[in-house]
Amino acid sequence: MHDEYLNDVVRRANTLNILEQAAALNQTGRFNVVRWVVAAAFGLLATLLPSACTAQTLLPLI
Amino acid sequence: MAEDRDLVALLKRGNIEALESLIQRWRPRAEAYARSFLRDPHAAEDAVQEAFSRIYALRTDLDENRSFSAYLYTIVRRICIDFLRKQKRFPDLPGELPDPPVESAEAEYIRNWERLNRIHLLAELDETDKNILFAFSLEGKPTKQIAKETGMSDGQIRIRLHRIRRKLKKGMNQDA
Repeated sequence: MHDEYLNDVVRRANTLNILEQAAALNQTGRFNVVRWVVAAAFGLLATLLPSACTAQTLLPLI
Repeated sequence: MAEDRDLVALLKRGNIEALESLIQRWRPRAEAYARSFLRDPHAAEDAVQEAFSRIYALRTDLDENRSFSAYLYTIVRRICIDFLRKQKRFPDLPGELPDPPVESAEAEYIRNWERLNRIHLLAELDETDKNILFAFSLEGKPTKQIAKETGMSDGQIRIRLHRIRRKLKKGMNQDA
């Protein structure tokens, strides 16, 4: 049996298993989670900041 | 001499000697089968080596109660068709595709058809896509860095990653 042939088979199989893991991670979309967190944080800030600023300005006047 | 089912049971546990025995037993016949498609001994040899690689990658899904040869021939057939498709020789083939030299080599022999199909699709990605996928998903490199290393733009890398995702998804749906 040619060791080289067997080694190539195992090497190619390992590469496929690694690619399979990579594809599974890619399917979930690594940067999508980050995008959602940033978007949510920005949304909260944009919604709450004007009210907070207004409240802070008006409160001493009342 | 051990039966195929015993060797497959060992192979499932990652036994290299079992793989070696199965290669010794089936390689000549599988190469003859691949040659009947490809008419090229070197391409046939490569196709069979690739088939054994895919089987080894999927070893945990093998079923020792099913025919190993049918499983092997099914995978060789798929690899040969993909090879011919890439060579643009496929349009001439329907009608003259040789049947596998076993009774049946259809999905019934494959417990996890979906995973086998995913492996096929991944193996068929070009080298650049494989490297991008590896760098992004496993090495955790940002797309900008991959772009710099490959000489492509950040947008191109993102598009390629998106296309890989889409290709795998589409392929899985088509073959399901």
